[in-house]
Amino acid sequence: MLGKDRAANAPDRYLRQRILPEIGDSGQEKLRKSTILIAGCGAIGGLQAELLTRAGVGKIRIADRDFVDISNLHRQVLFNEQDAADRLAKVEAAARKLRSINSDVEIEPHAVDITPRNIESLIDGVDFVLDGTDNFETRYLINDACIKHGKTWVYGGVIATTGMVMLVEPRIGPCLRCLVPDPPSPGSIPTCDTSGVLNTAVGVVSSFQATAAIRALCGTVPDRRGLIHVDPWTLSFDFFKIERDSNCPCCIQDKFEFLESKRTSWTAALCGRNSVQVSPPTDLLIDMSALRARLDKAGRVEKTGLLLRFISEEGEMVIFPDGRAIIMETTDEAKARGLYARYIGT
Amino acid sequence: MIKVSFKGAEHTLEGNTTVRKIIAALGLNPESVLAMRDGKLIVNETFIGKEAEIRLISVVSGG
Repeated sequence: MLGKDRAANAPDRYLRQRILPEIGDSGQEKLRKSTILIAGCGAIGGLQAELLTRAGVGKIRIADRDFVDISNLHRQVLFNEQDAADRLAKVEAAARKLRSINSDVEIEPHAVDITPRNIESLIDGVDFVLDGTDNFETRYLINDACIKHGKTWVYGGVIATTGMVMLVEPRIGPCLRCLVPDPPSPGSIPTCDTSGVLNTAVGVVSSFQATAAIRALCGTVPDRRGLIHVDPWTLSFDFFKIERDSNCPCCIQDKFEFLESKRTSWTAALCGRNSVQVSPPTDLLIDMSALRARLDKAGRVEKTGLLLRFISEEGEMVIFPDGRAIIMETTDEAKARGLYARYIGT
Repeated sequence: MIKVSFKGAEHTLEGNTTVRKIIAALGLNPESVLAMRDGKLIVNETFIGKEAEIRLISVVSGG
């Protein structure tokens, strides 16, 4: 067997990728010199990360706000039962797994909620952005930031047995707001709570997104621009032509409404999780040791990697270093805010 | 008449209307559905004449 160092540097590691005329030695070298952001590391983001780590992208920045839950495991390929039992931050579990797959790739995990306050620093220096999120609020933010800074990104979404993918090339092709001008109202579209998710649909969508990234990083231009709509259950695949909206507020009028609002949701119910995320109103970095000592007097506290898990008579919460907390076993946002104020403070 | 397909079901509606009204007539939210004709996105304000075939697909948010 090859030792770890030899395995990482073995000349034939990418042989079957380099002999593809679509990639070749020059494409492989471009991948090695590339930096990408994967925004969200759940189902589609996790598989994108694995595929692109194996493909040899030089540096992968991953941002995600959540921790691993047992209900993730049927579709989120980077995580295992122990990660869920330990309630590890997804980016932490993902980084560990990805580094074990390809130690040549630099993995840069960020356990943060993506907001107007941090999106521009997250995309700074990256060559391509992949959407691994599960909500439109964050996607419109990514769209604004990427159009403003000229970063190519790829939208992807999955629900039930269907999925969608669209490559967004700033000022060249349509952007997200050319496709869907305004975010659908809360409650107006199906969620994983109400419709479920087929894990193979996740695989199809993630693969199209990762392929778009590889092509863009290798410098090849797509043959056609538009929206892919797939349903692996019914064996259907459609490609729809989408044109730029001549009145698009974002990519035509340069109005970055989501980016410039600098507004962050104070609370957010998490899709399929019977839990509520509470965010601090400003960026902060918590002294986790001091908080742990304080919470020890009020209940049971466990440190799980980057995070603290706190269990009191009133419930359980998981606390992140950026000041966010996920309050478990409730969808009552007022109750969640109350528990946050009581134990973490505002 | 206009033929509208959505999630495998076919509907027949009167023409001379807009995409937005067609979507609403099926009890759907125009914000959450995309309308396609001849393999191309058409916006909700598009006027549809007497005959057309339109396919509706839901916007996908999960991930």
